[in-house]
Parts: sequence; C-alpha cells; structure tokens
Amino acid sequence: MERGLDDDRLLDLLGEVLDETDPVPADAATTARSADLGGADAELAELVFDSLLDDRDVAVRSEPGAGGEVRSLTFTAGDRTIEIDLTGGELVGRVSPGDRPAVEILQGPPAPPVPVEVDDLGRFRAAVRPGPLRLRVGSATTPWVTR
Amino acid sequence: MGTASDELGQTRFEDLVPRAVAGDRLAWEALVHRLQRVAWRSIAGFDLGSEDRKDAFAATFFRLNERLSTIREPAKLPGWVATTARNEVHTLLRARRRLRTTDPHDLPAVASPDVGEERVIEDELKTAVRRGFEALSARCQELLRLVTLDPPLSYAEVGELLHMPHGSIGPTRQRCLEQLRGTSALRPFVAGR
Repeated sequence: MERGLDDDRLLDLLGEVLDETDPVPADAATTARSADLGGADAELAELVFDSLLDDRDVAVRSEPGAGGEVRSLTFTAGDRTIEIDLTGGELVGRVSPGDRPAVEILQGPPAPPVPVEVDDLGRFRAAVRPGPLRLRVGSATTPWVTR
Repeated sequence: MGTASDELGQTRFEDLVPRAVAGDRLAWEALVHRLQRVAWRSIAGFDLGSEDRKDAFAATFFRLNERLSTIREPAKLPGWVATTARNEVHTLLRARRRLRTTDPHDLPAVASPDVGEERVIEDELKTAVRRGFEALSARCQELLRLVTLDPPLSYAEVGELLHMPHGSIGPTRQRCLEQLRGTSALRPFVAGR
C-alpha cells in the first residue's frame, strides 16, 4: 500500500479526525456567540480577592469534598466594593457604600439578567444556577466568575 | 455555516477585533467561529464532565468578550484563547477540589469523549488515525491536539501551554508522529514497514 503518509499529510488527517471525533458542541458555540457585546464598553470591576485562588486561605479551609464550603470574592469598581459569598446554589453579597445601586446577576447570555433586591445596608441574596456568573452593580460589571 | 463565517471567514483578527469592539455582531460571531476549535481542543483530556467542559469553553469566550477592547496583539488571539481556556479548566477543577498535584504529563491516557464513538467515520485511513491516536500516551495526544489546530498555535505558545521548552516542541512532535505511525492501527498504511 503506497499511500504517502508524510508528516504534513498525517498532521492534516489528524486535525480532521480530531474535529470529527470531538466537535465543538453546537449549544456551547451558540452560548459563546451570543455573548453580550454591550459589555465591552461597560466599566469592568476588578477582582481583588478570590478565596478559591488564595492559597493561604485555602490552607485553613475544610477538607476536599466537604459540603457547604463558602467561596468568597471581592471586587472593586471606582470607590465601590462588592463582596460576595457563594455556597452551592446561593449567593450572598454586600455592596459598599450601600447606596442601593441596581444589582443584577448574569448567568450566561441565553438567560436574561436577574435583578436582585438590595437592602438599606447594601446586602442582597439570590439563588444561582451552576455555571459561570457575573454581577452588574450600578454601571460596573464584574469579570466572569468560573464555577 | 452561518453568514458570519461566509462573509468574514478570511478576515484577519486585526480587522475583526476592532469591529467587534465597535459592536459589530457579525465580526464577533466570526471571531468565535474562528477560535472555537482552539478553545475546545485545548481543554480536551482533562478530568472534566461534559457540562463543566462546556462551561469552561463558554467562560473563555465571555472573558474574551469582556477583554476585547484590551487585546493589543490580535494575531496572538489563538494563544490567548488556548491559555484562557486552560486557566478556566484549572479554576473549575480547583472549585471541584479535584485539582491534581501531579505533573500534568503524568496523567493517565484519556480515551476520546463518547461523542466520537457514535460518529461513524467512513474512511478507513481516518479510522486508523483515530485508533492510533487513542493508543498514544496522554502527553503525545495533548501535544498533537495543539499542533494540528487551525488557526495554528506557534511552538512558543504550545510550549507555554504544556510547560515545555519551545525548542523541544518540534522534536517531541516528531517522536509522537513516529509513535503514531508505529501503532498497530496505522502500520498497514505506512509504506515499507
């Protein structure tokens, strides 16, 4: 069998085979395409703390697999601070100063933003689905939180 | 494929990025279309469920979207996307408390995802390539996935993703191709063996 299988041909074939055996799922591609372009102009809050990524904090945390573990994140946008705690399906947060800015939770472009009620002290609470999320607080938006 | 890919399929990243930043949805969709395989394939082979892999994939493009106006070298987008996608995976694995402390190169070989099993590949040579690939070490699989992408990653980018010296990518690729040719699946197709 004298079929040429030089490097280029083999690499081309392999590229095709990999695309065919492990294609990008259509629903995932649709989600990616539908990302909100309006967000490109919005003020991006800065992630200043994430307990998941802070080793010192993780070291004193509960053992792997323990339920009910809290992940704490802090963002800043201008002079505003946004703190959230994520526990499984629940998000508890606080913005300061607590001037009751509009707060929305975004969970993927197919789902519309969900407004949440903020109390006099800037606190809010909401149920969240699995998967990445971000918050819009006033004119600022946090980066996506991978979870 | 959609209009975006037909119309803008050949447009350079340097031209697509500013158009997407300006709110041109077709340009954004073309960017996603061009980069989706880079993102998807660079997160193959991890110990992730299919929903988690989709989340990491989507999060990569959400992040590209939010950072679009800060991209200074659009030509390096494929490398940026591959790095970001793998970072998303590491964050997810960490969130799942499953992040291994072992060297990534020691991870056991991972079979192709189930989706492949249902798809019938007619061409027997392609079938042989698929079987041969599945028989390779995890390290070779990972490297070959990254060096067969379109748009391509540079060897420097592949080296950074795999924590390997840039200079060793070419020789390692060569060794992995030789291993692939030497698999029982592919041997019959290789002349003179």
